[in-house]
Amino acid sequence: MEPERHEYKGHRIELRQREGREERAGAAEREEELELLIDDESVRYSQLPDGRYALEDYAYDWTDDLMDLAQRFIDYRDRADGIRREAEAGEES
Amino acid sequence: MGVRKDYRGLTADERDGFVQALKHVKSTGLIDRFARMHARHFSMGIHRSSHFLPWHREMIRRFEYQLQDFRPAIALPYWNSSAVRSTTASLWNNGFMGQFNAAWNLRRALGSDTLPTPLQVQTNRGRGTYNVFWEELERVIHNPPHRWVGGEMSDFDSPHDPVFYLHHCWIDKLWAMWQIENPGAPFVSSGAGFGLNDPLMEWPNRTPAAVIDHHALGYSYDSED
Repeated sequence: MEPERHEYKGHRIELRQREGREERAGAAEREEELELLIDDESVRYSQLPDGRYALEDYAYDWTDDLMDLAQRFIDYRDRADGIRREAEAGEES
Repeated sequence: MGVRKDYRGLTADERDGFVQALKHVKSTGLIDRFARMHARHFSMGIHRSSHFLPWHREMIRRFEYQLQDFRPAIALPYWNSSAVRSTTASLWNNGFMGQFNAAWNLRRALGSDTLPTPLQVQTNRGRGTYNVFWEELERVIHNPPHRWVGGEMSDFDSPHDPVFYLHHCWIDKLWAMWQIENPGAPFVSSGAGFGLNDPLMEWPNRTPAAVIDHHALGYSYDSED
């Protein structure tokens, strides 16, 4: 996976080289050193034994495409935030 | 032998005793220690490997022992999320699991995803080999309830939410039932280090072979057929 940047539903998703490690050039190392950011906030992730990615705060959806996973996380987070807002509104009324 | 029951079959005393025991192990720090342990090993083979089921069987059994130190009669209850699908089910009442959402800052968002269907469970139950069975069970039946509950339950450290244990108790039950229906099916390793006699993460003296027979571990389920 290479550094890349996309816009998705008004959010910025970026895969970038982690700072301070540019001197390490191997392809495998480069893959491990990519940092995922959504709206400039770092999103922690790791790889499962079969190479698929999981996000720390969206841990139970796995894919080998980190950019796709970030998009799924954005959709999920929006849904969950909407549910919490409805619940809070229901408690206040 | 302890009998693990559907949470809907708990008596009022059993339900209250379970809630009190959860509060106790929260106060001792056990809930948070187990959550950190789960997060630490999340990508190290406790998921997406043939150790997924035995590792979680060992984990929830150890958790159950700790509850029993507080109340010896306790057995973990289970949540069958293919049957109990409503956000207003009694599972989420403030007298039961609901109270922990605010008290433990779990940030649940019930209904954030879909739950497994009875047909998916039935289909998975019919798989004839362990490697096909566990992979589908984990991905299709185990994963969605984590996302459906949301908040802590959808994170690496999902055991912060006590409903984790009810969910994994059901997953363990599905494995136990499959084992009973497929007594000759061998344990199939998903790769190096994930065999029947390879150590489980965190507990190097424990292997899948040590937990393969749940009755030998001292518990059964209210229905196993």
